[in-house]
Amino acid sequence: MFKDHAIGESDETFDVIVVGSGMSGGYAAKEFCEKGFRTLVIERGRLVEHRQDYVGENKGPWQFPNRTKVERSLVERDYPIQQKCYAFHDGTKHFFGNDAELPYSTEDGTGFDWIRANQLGGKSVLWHRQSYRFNRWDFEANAADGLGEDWPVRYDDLAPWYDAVETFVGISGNDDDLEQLPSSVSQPAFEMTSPERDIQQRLAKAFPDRPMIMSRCAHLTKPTTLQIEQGRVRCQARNECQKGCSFGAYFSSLSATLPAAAKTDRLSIAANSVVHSLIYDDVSNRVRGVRVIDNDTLETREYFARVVFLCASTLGSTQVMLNSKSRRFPNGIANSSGVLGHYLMDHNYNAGAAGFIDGFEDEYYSGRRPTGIYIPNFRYEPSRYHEKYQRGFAYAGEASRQDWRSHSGEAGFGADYKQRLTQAGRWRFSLLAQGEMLPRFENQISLHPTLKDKWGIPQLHINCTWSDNEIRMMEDAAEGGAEMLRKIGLQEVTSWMTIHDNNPGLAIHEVGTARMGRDPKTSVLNGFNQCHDVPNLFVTDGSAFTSSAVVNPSLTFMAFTARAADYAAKEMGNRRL
Amino acid sequence: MVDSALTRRTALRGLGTGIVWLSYPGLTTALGKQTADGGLLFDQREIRVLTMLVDAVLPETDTPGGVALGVPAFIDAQLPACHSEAEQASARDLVSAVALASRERFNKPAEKLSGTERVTLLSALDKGQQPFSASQMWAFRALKRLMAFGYFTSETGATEVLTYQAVPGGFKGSIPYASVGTSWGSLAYY
Repeated sequence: MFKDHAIGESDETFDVIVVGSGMSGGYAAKEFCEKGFRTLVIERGRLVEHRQDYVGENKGPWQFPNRTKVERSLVERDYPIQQKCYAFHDGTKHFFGNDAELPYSTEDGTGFDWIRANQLGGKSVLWHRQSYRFNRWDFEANAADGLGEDWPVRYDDLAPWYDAVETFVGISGNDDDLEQLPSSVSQPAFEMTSPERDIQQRLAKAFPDRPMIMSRCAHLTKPTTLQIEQGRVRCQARNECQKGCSFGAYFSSLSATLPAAAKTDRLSIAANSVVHSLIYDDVSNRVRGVRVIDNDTLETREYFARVVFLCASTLGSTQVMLNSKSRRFPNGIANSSGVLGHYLMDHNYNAGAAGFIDGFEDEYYSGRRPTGIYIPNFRYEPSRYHEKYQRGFAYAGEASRQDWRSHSGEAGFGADYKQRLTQAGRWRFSLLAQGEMLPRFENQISLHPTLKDKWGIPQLHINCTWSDNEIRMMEDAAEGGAEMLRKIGLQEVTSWMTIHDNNPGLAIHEVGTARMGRDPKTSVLNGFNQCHDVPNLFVTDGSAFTSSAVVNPSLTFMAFTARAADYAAKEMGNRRL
Repeated sequence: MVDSALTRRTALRGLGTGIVWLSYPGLTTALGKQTADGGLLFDQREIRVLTMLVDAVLPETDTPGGVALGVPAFIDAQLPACHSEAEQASARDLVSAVALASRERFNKPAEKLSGTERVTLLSALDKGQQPFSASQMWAFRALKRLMAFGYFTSETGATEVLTYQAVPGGFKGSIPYASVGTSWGSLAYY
């Protein structure tokens, strides 16, 4: 289906070029096509067709040569970084970038794990689908505590766009009526297991200000007519999402936004097109289009449009901007402020706690729930901050019964041992901390002065470290999580902290580096994701963030993208663009 | 700890079934990549010991044993394909240690041990007691994990020994365990 929209070289001047086809790019394409604009999506990787290219789907582990594990020699050669992602295995590896072909460097003494998904659909194929709105303090925190540039946007500006995006995407969850986690337009939530319901009640008594809810995720549980017309149906609870889902039950660009764009017949797709830089005209102070290198042939071609939306992922979009140099912008386009590349953030998933909950031996669950429980950030306003650090964190978790994966390493052998492996074991409840990372000028991406990739594009050089604030937050998340679990009566409670072992990057929530702001001297983008310096250039992926907040960012990428597309469309209608 | 008299008895119960040495599937399916006199990682003598270990850890009961489900061949293929040199060496060292202990203690090859002799030897190994070391105990645990992985990710292990839902059709948070009767063989991540 997408191949019917694929183009090679083209002389056409499109209304809009969208660079990237993932979470943000897919949404931009849908919005512009539906508003009547001829839209070109540029994707550096190959075309992926919904359903037919999900080659890992519907396979049992015995149908993979190494039972879903990836051959060591292949991992060492092509995926030394990608294999750190929990979702990397033999059924998904074709949706991860090849590290050998995608080099980048890191500052001595630092590390950053950059997870790549360079194909049509981008990381929307691989994402974990957790979907939450920012709350009002997330937009106000920088101004309140002074730790970052004030967002030029407030919750009420974005709320209607959350409504629209959630209605289209399909979010399952409850209306939890929490000020720290505004409710979404939602479809029915997944069920909790019996121990989870019990723990929820125990926590409500012991920690009334730390409510535990069912998580919200982009899975259809009661699809709308529009979703059914798109060929999307109710989630079947396989939890094998990253292989691709032919049911279209989880949201991705391939299942939802790109089909919506394609339906208008105004969509063109230039795949295998690695954007080298933007074409900038300093007389008119406008970008005219993009210069791309063919992924396979390495030939150069150009595409033209009235407006360009960069949706190439945080590091990808900023790399393109840094590499778009001109007399007016010698250090990267729209970078008169000098902050382009700075304030890189990820989320900090580096602490947890777990314990056993006795009883419930007669209880089990059916299906593989693709999500878990959630304890929203309970330090969501400055008056609730911990004395040892700023901002806060959430816990994600679940209760499930142990199985042979944990029992097989225990003592024993023979018939009893084997019988034990066939049975469900004790219920274990775990919490994983998801912390905010502060925006810091020192956390920077830049172009390497000499090293280039195979397309001749300067490699990114990344200098990113955790700060003491992140370390102290994880210490508290580990200790505090264990304390919560002990207080509600769990057994054999353990906790852990991995911040000294893990580089930033692995939450795969990289944001910042082309931040928004009110002041063109200290920010790259205005409140509509429009470059202060170059009016027809927009950046609507995570690059625009001025703080990471606590919640998973994809829903907010899409809400900002839809809002920016609406603004740009009006500006084009008024002939200001 | 599970090393009770009961465990010993039930472990023994699985040993009366006999092992068909010639049915080792890796020898016929992996031609071209085999070592000169055996499988992909282990030589033929080591494979006989490995097969004994698999049979002792995952014996045939009312469900198939690990040998019948091809676990020795799986381990011989999986270790070199997906595990580090150190893990491979550790597994081979363990197999050699079992062979040596068998000769020294019972004066016969490990695969010829009687059921009682096997239990004696493996009980010591499982606890890291003489003649085995603590590190060999941990190597045995790692090998047992790999055996279980091979067993329960085989089609029979996942779908017949356990209960498998390819397409569950939705999630229910509470069902009676008795309505399933085993742990789920269908997992999101292995």
